[in-house]
Amino acid sequence: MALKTPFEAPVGKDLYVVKTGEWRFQKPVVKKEKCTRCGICFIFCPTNSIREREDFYEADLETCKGCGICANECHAVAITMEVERKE
Amino acid sequence: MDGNMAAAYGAMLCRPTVLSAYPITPQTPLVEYLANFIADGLLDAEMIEAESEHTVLSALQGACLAGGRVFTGTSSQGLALMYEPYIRTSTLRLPMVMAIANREVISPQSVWGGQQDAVTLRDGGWIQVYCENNQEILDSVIMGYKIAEDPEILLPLNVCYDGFYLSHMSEGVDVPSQKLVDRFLPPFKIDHIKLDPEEPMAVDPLTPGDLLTEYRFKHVMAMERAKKVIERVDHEFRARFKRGYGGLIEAYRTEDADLLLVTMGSPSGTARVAVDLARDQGIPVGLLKIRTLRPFPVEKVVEAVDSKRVIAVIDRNVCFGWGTGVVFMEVRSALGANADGKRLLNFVGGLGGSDITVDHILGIIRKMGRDVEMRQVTWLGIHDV
Repeated sequence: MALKTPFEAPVGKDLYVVKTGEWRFQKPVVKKEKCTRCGICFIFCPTNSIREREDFYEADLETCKGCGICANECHAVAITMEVERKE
Repeated sequence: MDGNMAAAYGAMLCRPTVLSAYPITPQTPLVEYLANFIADGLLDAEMIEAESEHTVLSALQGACLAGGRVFTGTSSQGLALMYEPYIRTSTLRLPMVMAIANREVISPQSVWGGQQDAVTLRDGGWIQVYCENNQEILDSVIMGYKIAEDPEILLPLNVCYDGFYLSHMSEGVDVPSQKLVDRFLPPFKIDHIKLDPEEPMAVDPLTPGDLLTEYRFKHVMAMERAKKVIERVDHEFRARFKRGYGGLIEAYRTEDADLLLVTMGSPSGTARVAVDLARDQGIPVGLLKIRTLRPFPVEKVVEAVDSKRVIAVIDRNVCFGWGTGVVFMEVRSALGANADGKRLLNFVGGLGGSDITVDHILGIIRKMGRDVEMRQVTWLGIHDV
């Protein structure tokens, strides 16, 4: 009998995390010069994928599922959703 | 003391650190007793007064995850409102004890006894113990923590007792000393899930099917292991407190019995009296009391029923879709092919607070002894007994 997880219940450190980035068909692209660093994308992101960089915000594509909420909320219109194609 | 007070004393003796409850008939006095214990300085615990049963159990999940020993109680519609956190509590494998003062479910509006609330949740992943009297309530709460917190088990446990028949009925109950209980039940220590701000961890992340299957497998296996642990804890309890309940089942005067009554909950006491009266008349009848609906004592039931010719299950609940009571359906499933050549009868009664009397059970015993064709399911009060 081979079990894949040593955990007795879904509580613990280093549990398996579903890479929701794999669900994505479009990704948010940030125009750094337009970003005002207001952080509204950070607040609205449902998967907590927005990371703060030195002078702008961008999405971590490991977990960003491409929902587009950040692009919709961005007051500065600095984020556009670009369709991704699998090679 | 009444059954609610027995549950409250049982809980207090286990030194819970966090309590939460929302009052609902017939569990309400239980909450009042616990609040009094805290107000009087007898119990050092945090009482969270929540706005609903859903919040009660959700708050206790958090408290248990943080390492607290937690306790609550509810009934009927309150349990129904707990449905969502109820299953999450067991699937998170959070050991805790919740009393259920069994009450009919609505509709029609009813505040009286019946086991429909808890039996409906028999597949919710909790251990469910059903009590016959108030002493058993107090003792089952204490044993409950020992079973639930066993590292081999880690499951929540319900101590179920019939609303009003036990919750509001007073009888003598021995309250063991705190010292004795402390020696039996060590402080709660949780290793597999304890939350710690210094060591952040995930609780319930999105989990794919193959891993979910593993968690279910482990949960089901823990429930199977619980059969042994429940019996072991009952033995330990008997050794220390000089009383026990047989663990999963209790057989009463079943040796050389040809006829076997099967009960769960407070009707067991009535059935004992009826068995004694029938035995006085030379009728070879015995009683099998089911203590745990979950895990269901399949092997023990098969063993107990082995040499019996007629088996009559008395149910204070119904099993929609089978046209029977729940305990009957469970017993029949457990027996499977072992039921061949036996007569299985079901008597449904005691719903919505109606009585199951000694006369009812004597009537059932007389019917069992008669070699005539009869309906498989008899409803007390609707069909003649």
